[in-house]
Amino acid sequence: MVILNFLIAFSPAIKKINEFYPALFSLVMCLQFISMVGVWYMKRWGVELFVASFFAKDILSVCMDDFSFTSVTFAISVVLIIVLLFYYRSMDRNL
Amino acid sequence: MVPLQLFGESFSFAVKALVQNKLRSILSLLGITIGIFSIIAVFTFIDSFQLSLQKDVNNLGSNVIYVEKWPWTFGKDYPWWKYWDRPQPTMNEMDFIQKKCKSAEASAFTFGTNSTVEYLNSSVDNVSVNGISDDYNHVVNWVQIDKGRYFTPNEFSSGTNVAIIGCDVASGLFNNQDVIGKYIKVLGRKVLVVAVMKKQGESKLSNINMDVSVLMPANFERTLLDMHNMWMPKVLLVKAKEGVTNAQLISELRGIMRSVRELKPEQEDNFALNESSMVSKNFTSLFDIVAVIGWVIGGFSILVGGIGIANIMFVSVKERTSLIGIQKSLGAKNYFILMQFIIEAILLSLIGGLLGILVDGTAVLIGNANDMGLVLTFSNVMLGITISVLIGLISGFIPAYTASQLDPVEAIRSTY
Repeated sequence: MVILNFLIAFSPAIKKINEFYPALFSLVMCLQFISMVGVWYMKRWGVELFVASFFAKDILSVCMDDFSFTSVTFAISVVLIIVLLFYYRSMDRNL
Repeated sequence: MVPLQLFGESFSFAVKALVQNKLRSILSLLGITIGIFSIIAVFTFIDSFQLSLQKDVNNLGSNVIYVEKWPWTFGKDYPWWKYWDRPQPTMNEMDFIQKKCKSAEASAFTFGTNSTVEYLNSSVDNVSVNGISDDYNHVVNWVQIDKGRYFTPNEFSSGTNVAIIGCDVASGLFNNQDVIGKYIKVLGRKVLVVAVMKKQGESKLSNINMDVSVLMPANFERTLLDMHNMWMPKVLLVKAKEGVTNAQLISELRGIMRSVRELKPEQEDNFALNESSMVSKNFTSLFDIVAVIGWVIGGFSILVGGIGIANIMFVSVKERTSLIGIQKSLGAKNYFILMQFIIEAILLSLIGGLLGILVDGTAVLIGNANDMGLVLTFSNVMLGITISVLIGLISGFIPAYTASQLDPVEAIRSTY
């Protein structure tokens, strides 16, 4: 999902919103991908990075007037954060 | 200072690894090169064409309404037979608009035909010969005088045999000699050249090419042509006042035209009110399709390139497992190993991306040498660099993280 979102970041539709929006959007997508690797290895930094990138992405979307509460990715991310926070204590603190 | 030193060391390790495996590095970055080239080439082409279109729209006048017999764009069910019998706009209608229209800053009338223009033994074929009314240069932007002067009000009203010619006509007839004050033969009559226009090139939005045009006062040209000829295009141009939107002007013009043509409320308009945005909108939707196709092709190339880099990084980690074990046993931290491989992946991808941009730049230079007017914008270059760096980061992160998590004892024992 993150990889596909990363590709969507360079779509003409995203480029139309703002010239530099694709670069920022793809940076956030990249951070989400890295956070997913961390989550896969059950690392706390993965969850922390995912939450940070989630907020960064939404703040960016709000700034660009591209935010929607009803989007599928928003809903999936919220559910994922709830699940990840549930397991947060049992995750590894180290890098 | 220590993190910088560590970064420097990681960087030199990464560069060494790339230099040691030149062929492998080049082959793995080719995917990224092709992907970045495709995406940036499509964006460059579209940006350049849109800039050129914007220039054309400005030339046509974004706030100018063209009153004509035929609309510029048609829907799916094109009732051409309805337009066939429509009357052409006339100079009397222009006078009426000038008197009644409060939203108009200026209005003009033009009509024309294609003809051969001659001077002594020289001739230029297929020249657009247009009769224009006096405010024509205030309504449109394409009457740009290079040498000479515009027509005087007296020449317009009396219909004097004077002409303003395009630069290609001037060079075709006079071969860069002095043009002003010479008599040329247009539509069988001798006409005095009073001005030459600047070189402007052909419009992508319309079939107007002022370089191969001759302008003459409407009152003169109407004596040379059959004004009842239904095939001769006649256009009434109306420019909106500052602060007046095109929609407001169109609304007022529609009322005036219906009143001057005495149309009953139940009757349809028998004229078309065209504006430049109608044509540019059609182009915009075409660009959107081209952009999506380019993005899909480029996106998949980048995806494949990224997978290639990830694959090479996994091989690289496997090859250097015992080295990683030695580094870790000598005290290298996890993040140092992580950084080492991530930098290698980013470098690989960045070189690929820069090569792609370089190919784009070369294509733009070649294109511009052939007058294509391409522009490689800074934002597109930055986009290319960002994509390549991030693809490197994504594709290199998992191999790098795997390397950083290796157990030193197990790693040293590895016999790859």
